[in-house]
Amino acid sequence: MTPTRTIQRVLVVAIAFHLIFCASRIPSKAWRKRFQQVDKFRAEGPIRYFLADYADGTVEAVEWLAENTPERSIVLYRGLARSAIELANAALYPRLLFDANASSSESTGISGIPFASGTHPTLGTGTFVLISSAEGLRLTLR
Amino acid sequence: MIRTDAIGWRFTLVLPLWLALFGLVSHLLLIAGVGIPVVLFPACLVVAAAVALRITVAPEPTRPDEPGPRWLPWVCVALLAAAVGAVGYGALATGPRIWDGFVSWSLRADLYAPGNEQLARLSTSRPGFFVHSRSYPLLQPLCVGASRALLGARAGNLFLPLVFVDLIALVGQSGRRLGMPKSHAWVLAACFGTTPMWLSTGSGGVDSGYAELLLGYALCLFASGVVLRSLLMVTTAALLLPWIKPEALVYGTVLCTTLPFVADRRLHLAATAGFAAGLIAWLPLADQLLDPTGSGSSAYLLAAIASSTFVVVQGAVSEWHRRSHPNTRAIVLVAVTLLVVTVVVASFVLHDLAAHGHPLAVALVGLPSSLPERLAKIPQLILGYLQGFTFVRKYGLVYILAIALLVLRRRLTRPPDPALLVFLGTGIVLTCLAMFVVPPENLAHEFESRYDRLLLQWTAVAWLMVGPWVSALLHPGPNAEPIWANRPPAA
Repeated sequence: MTPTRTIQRVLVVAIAFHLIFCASRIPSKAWRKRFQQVDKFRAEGPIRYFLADYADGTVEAVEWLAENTPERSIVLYRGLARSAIELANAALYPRLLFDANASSSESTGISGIPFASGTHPTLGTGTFVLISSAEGLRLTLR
Repeated sequence: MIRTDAIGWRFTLVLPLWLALFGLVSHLLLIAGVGIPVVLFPACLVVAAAVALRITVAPEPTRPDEPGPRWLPWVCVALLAAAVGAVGYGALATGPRIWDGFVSWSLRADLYAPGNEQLARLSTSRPGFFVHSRSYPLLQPLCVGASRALLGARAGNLFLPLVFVDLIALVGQSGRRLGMPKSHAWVLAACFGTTPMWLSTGSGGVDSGYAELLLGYALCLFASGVVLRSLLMVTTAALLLPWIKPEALVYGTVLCTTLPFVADRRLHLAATAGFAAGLIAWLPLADQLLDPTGSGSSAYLLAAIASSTFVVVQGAVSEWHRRSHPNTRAIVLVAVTLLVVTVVVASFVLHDLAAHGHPLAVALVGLPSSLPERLAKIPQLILGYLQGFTFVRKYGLVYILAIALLVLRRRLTRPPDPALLVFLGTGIVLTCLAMFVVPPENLAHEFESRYDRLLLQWTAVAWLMVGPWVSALLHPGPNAEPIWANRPPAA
C-alpha cells in the first residue's frame, strides 16, 4: 500500500518539529547552561562545587587535606562508604583512601606509601582520619 | 594496498577497530599484571587505520534521484557543528561536572592511565582501599586515561566528543548505505546528533563522563553491522559490549540470542565469537577486581561455562530454527542440558557476586522476596515508561515516531529490516525490565536518574530504524521493495 499524502505530511512535520525543537535548545541548554556550569565549577573548584550542600566543615576538611598533605599519601577514613566520601575519594586523588578499621593503629603506611599526617591548626599533630556520614565529613586524628 | 574508495565509511570504521584492539590488548595486560604502555593507544590507532584502509568495503549505493534542496546538508552540518562544539567545549573546559562522571568514571580513568600501575594495583589488590564502582567494566576508563596520558588532562577529555562525532557519522552513513538519499541521510545524522539529552549538561550527556555514549555506540555498531551484513562490525561490537557497562552483558547476551532469527548464520557466529572473546577478556579481570583476596574463581568459571555454552546453544538454536541440520534434536538436547547446568552454576555464582556487592547480582538475588511489592508498583511502572518514551525534552520525537510507525506498520509499506525492529524492541523491553528489578522503594528516583539514561543508550538504534523507514515512505523511488533490498553485499 502506498503511503497516503496525509501520512507523508505528518512524517515531514514530525521530523521538522524534531529538528527545529532540538536545534532551538542548543543555544540555551547546550551552550549557555554549559558556560554557566563551567564558570561555577572553575570558580568554586570541584570540592566546593560538589560538596557545598553537605554539613558545615565538609568542604573545609577536604580542602585542607588537599592543600596540606602530600599527593603520595593514603588518607584514612571511617564510617559510611558512600555519599560525600565518594567525592572526597576523587577530589583527593592521587591520594588513596583507606578504611581506618582495616589498618592497625601502629602502622604508618601501606606498601611504602605513608598515611596522611601532620599538624592541623586546631586538631593538633597526628594521622588524619576522615569521619564519613550521610550528612558529610569531618576531620579528626587517629 | 591502501584503498581510497568509500573513504568516509573507512574513517568511520577506524574507531571501533581502534577500541577493539586497544581494549583487547589492555585487558590481557591487566590480567597478566603488566602495565599499559603510553604508546599502546596511538599504536592501536595506527593499526586500526591501516586495517580500515585495506579491507574490502561495499561501495556506497547510488540513486539517480536525489530529492531535497541543496542547502539542506549545509543546515545539518551547521546544527551538528553547534552540537558537537558545545560538548567539545564542555569536555575541554573542565573534567566531568556531574557526580558519577567525577567520582567514578574520571577517577578510574586517572587510576588506570599508563604509568600509574602501582596505584591501580595497590588500590585494587587489597581490601580496605576505597575503590568506586570496583566491578565496573574498564574500556572507557582505559581509553580516557590513555588519551589523557597522551594529550594532557584537558585535551584527553576530547575522546568522548570524538566518539560522539563517529557515532553521528555511523548513523548517517548507515542510513545512506541502507538506501537513503544523501539529503535524507544528512537529516538523519542531524536528528540524532541534536538529541537534547546527549547535549545536556546533566547525567548521560556526552561530556558528563558517563559511559552511556560508548554503550550507545556499540549498540548502534551492532545493529548497523547486522543490517549491512558486515561481519567486521558485528564482531567488533559484540567484542566491545562486555567491556563497557554491566548492563551491556545482558544486552549482548540477548542480542546474540535473537540474532539467529533475524540474520544469517555467519553474522550470528561472528557476534557469538566476538561476545565470547569479550567475556573471556573481561571476566577474569572482573574477578580480580571484585575479590582482591583472590579466593574466588567464580568469574573464570562463569566465563568458561557461559561462553562455551553460549556458542553451543546459539549454534543449536540457529540450526534448529533453520531446520537444516540432520542431528537437530541431539544438538538441542545437549544445548538445553548445558543451559540448565549453566543456570544452576550461575545461581551459585550469583550469590557469590551479590555477597561482593555486584549491583545486578544483588538486585536479582533480592527479586523473589520482594515480588509482591514489585507487582503492586506496576501502575507506577507503566506511567514511568510512558513518561520516558514521550519525554520530548530529552529524546525529541524519536521514540514517539518509532512507536507510531510500529503501531501503523500494517498500513505502511517498506518496513525496515526485521533485525532493527527486534533489536529496538529488545532494548526497550530490557530497559523496562531493569526498572522492575530495582528496589521498589527507590522507583521514583530510579526513573529520574537511571531509566532516562537506559533509553538514551538506544536512541541511535531507534534513529537507524526510524530514519530509513521515514525516508522510504517519503521518497519511495521507482520500486516498492523493502528498504534493505538496496543494501550492499556483505563486507
